[in-house]
Amino acid sequence: MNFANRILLKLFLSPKKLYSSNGINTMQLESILTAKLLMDDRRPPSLMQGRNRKKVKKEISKATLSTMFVSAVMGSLFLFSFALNTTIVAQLTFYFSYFIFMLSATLISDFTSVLIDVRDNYIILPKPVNDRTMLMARLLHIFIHICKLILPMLLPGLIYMSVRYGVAGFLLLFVLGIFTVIFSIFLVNAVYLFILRISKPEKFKNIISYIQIVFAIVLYASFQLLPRLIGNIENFDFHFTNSSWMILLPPYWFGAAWSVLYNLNGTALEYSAAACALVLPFLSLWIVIRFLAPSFNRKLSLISNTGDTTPAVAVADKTVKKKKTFSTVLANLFTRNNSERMGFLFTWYMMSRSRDFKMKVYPTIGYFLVYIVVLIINSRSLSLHDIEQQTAAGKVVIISALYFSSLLLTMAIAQLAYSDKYKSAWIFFVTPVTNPGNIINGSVKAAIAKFFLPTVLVLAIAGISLTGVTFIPNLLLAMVNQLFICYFIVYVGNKDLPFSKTQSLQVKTGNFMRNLFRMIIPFSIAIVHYMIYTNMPLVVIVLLTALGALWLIEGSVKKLSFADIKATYTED
Amino acid sequence: MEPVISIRNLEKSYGNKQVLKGINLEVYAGQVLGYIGPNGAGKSTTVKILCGLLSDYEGEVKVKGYDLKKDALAVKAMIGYVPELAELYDVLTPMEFLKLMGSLYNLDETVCEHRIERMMAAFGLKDQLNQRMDTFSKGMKQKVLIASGLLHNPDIIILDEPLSGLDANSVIIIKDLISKLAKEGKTIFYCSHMMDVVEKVSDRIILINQGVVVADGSFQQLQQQEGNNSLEQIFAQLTGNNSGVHAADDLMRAFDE
Repeated sequence: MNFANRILLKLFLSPKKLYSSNGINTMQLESILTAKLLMDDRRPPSLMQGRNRKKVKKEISKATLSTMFVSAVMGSLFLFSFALNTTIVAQLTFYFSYFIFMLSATLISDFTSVLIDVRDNYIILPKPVNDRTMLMARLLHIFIHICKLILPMLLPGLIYMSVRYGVAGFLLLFVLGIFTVIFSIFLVNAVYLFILRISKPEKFKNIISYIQIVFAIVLYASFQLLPRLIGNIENFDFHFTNSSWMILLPPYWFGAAWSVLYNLNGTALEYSAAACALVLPFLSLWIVIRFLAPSFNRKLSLISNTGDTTPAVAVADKTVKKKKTFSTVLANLFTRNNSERMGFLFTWYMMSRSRDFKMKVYPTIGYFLVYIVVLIINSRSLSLHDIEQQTAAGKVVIISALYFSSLLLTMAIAQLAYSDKYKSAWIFFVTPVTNPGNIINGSVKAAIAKFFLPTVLVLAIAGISLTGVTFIPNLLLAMVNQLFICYFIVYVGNKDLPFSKTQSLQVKTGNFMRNLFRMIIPFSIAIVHYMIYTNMPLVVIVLLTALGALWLIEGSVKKLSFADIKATYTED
Repeated sequence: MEPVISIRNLEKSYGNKQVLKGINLEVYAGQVLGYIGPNGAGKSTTVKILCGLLSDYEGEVKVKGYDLKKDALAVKAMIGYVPELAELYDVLTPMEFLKLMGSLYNLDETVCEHRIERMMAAFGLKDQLNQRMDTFSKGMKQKVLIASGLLHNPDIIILDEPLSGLDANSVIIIKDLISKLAKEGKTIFYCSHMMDVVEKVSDRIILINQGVVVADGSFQQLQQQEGNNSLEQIFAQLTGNNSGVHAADDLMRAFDE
């Protein structure tokens, strides 16, 4: 155990008399907490889960310290709101927005994965541990967990405050920070209960991961867009002192409360917001304890119980669906033999259903969209006229739109080989598959159908309506080029069977060069395309050549044998 | 003789599905009780109630005179439970995990440590005592679990499919252990799907089907009643399911064009 855990444990266990006089077995309490904290230490940090969930080979033993470090870094990022050119109330509102946001995001994921452990039911419940001890152990575990999160997260802000506004500023931020935590716990509880109300317990974990994805995207968007928006809104500062709708924003309460208490004066709006900040967290705490917590724990245990005690198999779909589904129609359309079809359908189902895959790829879609919005805001000088008349600036926009469209596809292709359930890949090795290339080809096609064709469709509609049918050859050329690049990456890459590897076995060597090529090749091709863009005959000739190249490389991928792909069954 | 475990009119429902429909059972000290039944018969529900995992049941469960509803803690202290499916905190080492278990049973730390070392050595896991269990095989985890159930020297031991994942040598050890524990006067509640093991290990067999007890007696008694040879056949007969034969036939017929 590390020092942070040890200090917090000592601190929380110090009122031993108080615990034991309330019927709590302090020895059991201590050993449960010790074990729980030890386990937290060996778990990959939650802030990094999702994207970087590599199964690290060496044993994790300082997860707590790295989580704390990440929180501190996050906390320093929040300082960016103090750099905004606006009033202190506005700055603090942004600061508290980030704080509430990050805290809720982390708590949402931790509540299920860290704090509510299904195995408790089997391991601790059959032992002679009384309810109070168990409850206290849970509560203290949650408190210690939250402390480890928020103390480092608040630290940079506290340092800034004490330097800029002295001890009073420091203390006020600290107290208000704790109030914010209470309020965030209320929010998280409410969100959980809401999800539980609208969804089945089995779906719960999926919904939680979608929420995490949305959180990540919103966070990215806010860092990208906020500074730009502030410059654009008229009378920005004015809103913060006078617009009464501001009181609907919880972060504003805390910002205003700081300012009111620090300056000991403010507008009527600020006074009422400050009152909210001081009263509502306690009201919400009371609501949590009184109404939410009991049903919350009951419902959570319901989640953990599903899977083993509910023998209710979905009997609803008794009429076996024999009619063609969308995916089989697509598979028939794009594939030519059985192995390819199988690879296509397998990959399609996995991409749509594996939480692991979605957590890795879907955030990228969000970042991509945010980036597009940023581009649009930045290039407001550019008008639709430029695109219609195909001026130089217009052409740059068209070409970059065309060539960025495969970003998603490359992201998806890079993830295709990896899965949590990589051991299930034995199916490829015990069956008499002669040409694994067919399966790989099928899975690449599934990724294309899912992540590339929709983008192309949108681009085609937008492009043709703006610039007319002359857009089509260029669109086709860009499309074929990108498909070629994508196949090329597959062909020179690791050539793994879909969903057959763990992330940890990712080969490190040569990754840099490969990534460099991934960047350079599309970029240079895009530049060439830009130069020939208006020369229609040339575009058509290049298009035909590219088609030929695509056909050749697709053929080579298809013919890959087990000897070529060097695939072996991964047994961990 | 006072029964160690006495169960009267035990009923339990999940939603509107009644899983246990009035189980009556008395188990005496030194008995090895084989508790069998088809999937979904209510076996693990009974076990979960007995271990205090489920508390919202109808009827009466008494262990050594203590009512499970009123004195749950006293009952839990007398029971050692070995769950199926290797449910344990596998980021801990066996030492850390078993020490946690010991302290939950209020065992003295030095006594506990001493026992852990001896038990693990007996299981041949001495060298792995301080390695994290996430690298352990299923059998090794199972051994740790069995140790965790015996650590506090309980009078009643509930084993839920304890042999899963164990190799033949370890199976011999556990079978031997069960009969030695019974000789010491311990009561053993043995839940399993492996009929041949149940047949050999237990001196009393309870067969439940659809939430009620359909057979109760020693293997010899059951044989006399049903006039059959193996427990497997008795099982198939009593659970009213002769479809076993048909199922195999149907499976074979699936090849027909």
